[in-house]
Amino acid sequence: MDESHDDRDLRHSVEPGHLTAVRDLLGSHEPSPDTVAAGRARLLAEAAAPATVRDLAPAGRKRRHRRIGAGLSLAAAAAAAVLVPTVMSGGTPPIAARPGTSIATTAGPTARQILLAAATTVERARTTGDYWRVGTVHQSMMLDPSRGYVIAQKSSTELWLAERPELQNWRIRRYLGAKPASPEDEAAWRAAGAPASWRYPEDFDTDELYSVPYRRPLKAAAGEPSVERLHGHWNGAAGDLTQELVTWRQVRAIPSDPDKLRAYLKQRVIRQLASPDMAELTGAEREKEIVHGLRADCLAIISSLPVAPEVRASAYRVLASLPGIRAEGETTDPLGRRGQAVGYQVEFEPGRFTDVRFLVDPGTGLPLAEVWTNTGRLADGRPVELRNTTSYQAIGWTDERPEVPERRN
Amino acid sequence: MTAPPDSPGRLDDAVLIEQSRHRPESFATLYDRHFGAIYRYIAARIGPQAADDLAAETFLVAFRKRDGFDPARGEVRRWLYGIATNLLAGHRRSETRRLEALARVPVEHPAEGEHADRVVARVTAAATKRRLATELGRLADGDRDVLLLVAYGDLGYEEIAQALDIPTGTVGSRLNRVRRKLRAALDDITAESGGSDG
Repeated sequence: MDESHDDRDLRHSVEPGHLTAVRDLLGSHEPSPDTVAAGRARLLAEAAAPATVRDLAPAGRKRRHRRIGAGLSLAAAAAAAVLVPTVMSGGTPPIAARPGTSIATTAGPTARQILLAAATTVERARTTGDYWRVGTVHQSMMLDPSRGYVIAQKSSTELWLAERPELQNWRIRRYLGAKPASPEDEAAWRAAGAPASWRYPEDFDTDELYSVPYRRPLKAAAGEPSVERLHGHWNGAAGDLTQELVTWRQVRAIPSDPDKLRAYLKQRVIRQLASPDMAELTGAEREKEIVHGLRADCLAIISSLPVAPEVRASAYRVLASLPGIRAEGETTDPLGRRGQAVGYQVEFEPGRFTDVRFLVDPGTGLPLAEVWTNTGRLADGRPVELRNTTSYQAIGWTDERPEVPERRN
Repeated sequence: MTAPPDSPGRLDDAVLIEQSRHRPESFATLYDRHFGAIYRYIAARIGPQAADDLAAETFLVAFRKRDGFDPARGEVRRWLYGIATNLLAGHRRSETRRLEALARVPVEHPAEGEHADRVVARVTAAATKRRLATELGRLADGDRDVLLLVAYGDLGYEEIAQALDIPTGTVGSRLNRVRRKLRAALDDITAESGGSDG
């Protein structure tokens, strides 16, 4: 469009602040010395024996999505096998993939029974109100800067969305503080002088498992609520379905029949997945991607969208029909509430899996919490569970109003 | 053979490629010069773990294709970014998955006793992260390619056009679209209050 722009203009054509935000979000990751050395060895192996390595390369490339572990290609494994242990060390070992099953291993209800019971109960929920309100408490865990113990940080969010244009949309958030995650962590924290805040160096490696603040300390003390009025493209938005904001009209158009809902969501998922590499997938791989998408969409409908109770019930039924979800028995969420859990795994990077648990309150049929568990490593090498949890305090219609302070000035 | 990047008598990248046709190991110098930058670009898009493999593969592919490198069509750097971007096209799902995960990462919250102006800035920044991750996931693949080449490759219009083998005008229109979308996504949240005087 603007061919006359020179390169200096180009870098300003996306606002510098936005470019900075993109870099802050995606990070600036430096390769480890092992990675640099392994890549160089691969290149030199190729340079030394081009014919052999070239023959192996296509097989190596085809397999890259499914590879478990730090990921050397077959070519590299053949050419530089001795490097493998070096490259694997230092990183967190991936959690091994578990074969998916819907059959409970204990005497308790199966995943399917839990989800279908929730479907029946949730159909009795209230269906109107001035505001659709979703209140959540997030808890995330991270290692302290010395990697000696685990810190749990909590914050709350309330989203108040109204269809009537005279009512404002609001989001209220509050930092609830940070503290050692377990009694054992507390002992380590005390031994370290019981700090009231933690400062992370810029090059602190989180192995992509959690986020830490870099520019200011992480504080133990809780903060005051912050209130935001949502406008712009939030106007008319009834929530977020996976990657997209959806309008009230779109939410009402979500089918309530389980089969139709499944077909509708599947179409969405396939549209979202449209990308060149989808064509390369085998039928089984493609099916796996669709299952992942359907699960995410069903969970979004169940836990956050102002759909009719029948739609929420159908989302549970679709969820119950998906492979890879297993019953995990009665569990307690971080707010101390008991619920029935179902679990599954998410491949968040090729070959690395997060265990996810979804807790349902059998009394209301509503979700209590979603718990994402990864394994981190302390400085002494001990593995520790790092849990990232969303607990639902309120999901439903209300005629109440949010507590919003008078506008200043 | 592996002269540090700024040593005197440094050989030009294009000369090294020429040389590597007869002395393949010369290509390692290009690796030493550019691996870090290519790695950062790839890691930003699909995460460091997957980047270990793909960054190395970028150089393998470049090495195999070195006969096809045409110095008339831009410098080696943009050629490498082009190869990396092509390889990334086979990892769209990993990228989407990563952006989904980033959209879930808890945002930072105001600290107690913080000045109101700073809280507003902080709250906006916090909201930005989630919205930005979501918005990046929604961008068309070609638009995301262009944005991240600007953000990480620091490439100009012409260089991006060469790297992706598309017309310069297309680069401009993609960037215009990205700018509009980022504005819409990031500039519509207003903090009403918070912090000590909230």
